[in-house]
Amino acid sequence: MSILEVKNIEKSFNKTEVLKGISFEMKEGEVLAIIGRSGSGKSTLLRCLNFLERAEKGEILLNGEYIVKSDEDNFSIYPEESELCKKGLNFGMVFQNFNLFPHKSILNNLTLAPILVNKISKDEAEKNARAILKRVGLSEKEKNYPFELSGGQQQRAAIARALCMKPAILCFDEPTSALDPELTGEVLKVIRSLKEDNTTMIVVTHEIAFARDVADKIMFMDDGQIIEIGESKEIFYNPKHPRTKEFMQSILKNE
Amino acid sequence: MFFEVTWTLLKGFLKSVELFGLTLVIALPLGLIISFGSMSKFKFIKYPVKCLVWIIRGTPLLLQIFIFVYAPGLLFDISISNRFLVCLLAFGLNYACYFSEIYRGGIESISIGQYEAGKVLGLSKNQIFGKIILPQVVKRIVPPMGNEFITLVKDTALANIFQVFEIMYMASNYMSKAIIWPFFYAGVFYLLFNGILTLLFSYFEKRLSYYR
Repeated sequence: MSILEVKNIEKSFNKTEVLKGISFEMKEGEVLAIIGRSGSGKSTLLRCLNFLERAEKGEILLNGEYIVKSDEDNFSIYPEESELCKKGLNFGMVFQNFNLFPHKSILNNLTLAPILVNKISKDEAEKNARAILKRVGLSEKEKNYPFELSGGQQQRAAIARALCMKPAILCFDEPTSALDPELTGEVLKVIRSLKEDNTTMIVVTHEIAFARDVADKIMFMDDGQIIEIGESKEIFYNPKHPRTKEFMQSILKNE
Repeated sequence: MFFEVTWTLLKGFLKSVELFGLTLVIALPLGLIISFGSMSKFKFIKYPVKCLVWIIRGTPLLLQIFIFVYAPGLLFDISISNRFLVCLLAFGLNYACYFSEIYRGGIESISIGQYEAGKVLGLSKNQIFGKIILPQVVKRIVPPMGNEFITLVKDTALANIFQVFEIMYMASNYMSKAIIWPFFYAGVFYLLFNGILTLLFSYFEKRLSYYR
């Protein structure tokens, strides 16, 4: 069974159609990379999945259960805010700009939501957080504040923060785009290690080589549509659609 | 003579400080409510509130106190005998409007990403505001609030016109006896008090400098 099913998602901002009917499925443990030019709708799609944006049309199912259902005209029907908030916890999110809480130590960044939302004890939250910090290689930084960390360390902390909520699917919105080139490696390494632990992930990325190596599937988006989706090697070495070919060529030329 | 003047001025200054403190008690929370109003999604809340802030910030405080003192009598034939209370209300509203703009600036300066990070972690709107936004706002508004506090200390002098027995009123009593120096002496009280405030605010700034 698919862990995630997305059916005919449509979304527009001020009459500009950004997503024009997006449908895809994901299996548990799968890593999906979404690639495409700026403005192709990749980030908006991700934001619709974790409910930072609301789609106008289409459906979203998690483990076969409707989170967002649609009426006969395919208009999306969302559950109440509190229900949606609960369902949203299935989707972890790692932002391009980290968005760590600057006034909290790294440890408190990680424990804030588990304590407030999941209502677990401070001790337990800290125990979990320390285990996860160890996993991303930041054990020594738990008392530090975000500004004291490098960009790569901040992004690893942000990944750890998302993991603390034990999401079913971890979403990344261009996780390395705000980083200096020499710092992207450490973040990508963490994402790779998550794949080894069978974490289901959706990664919007410009790191095409990373997408090829880590993702099981690549989705190429252009102009609010899925142009091509398939096995990553297939999309990378043998794209079918002319627009995918063109995109791959332009990317490879730059590398 | 000197001790008598000191004692009288000190009594007056305690009244000034009382006006200062109570104004803050009103204006600090009221300012937050007004700032929410001026950021409201609902136009029928937002624009009247913005209009109020425009009027209060756009006219002299002295004039506003006059209105608070005389309007109830002229409009409703009610005479308010407690001049201190009337001044306090005028000060409270005036400073709440100034504070509201400082709060608004602080709140709007927090990046949208902070709200979104809270939201994807499942925090409620109140938790996001209370645990993530407000602590960061406090840090950002400490310097401009320091300014306003100091201005307020000096603005309390306006109350002397309305027979509130604060320090300038006390000093002007000596003036009518042709003794001028207590007036200048009163300045020392303001200076000392604002000195303490300045130190307090730099202490707060230091306390909050543990993060950027």
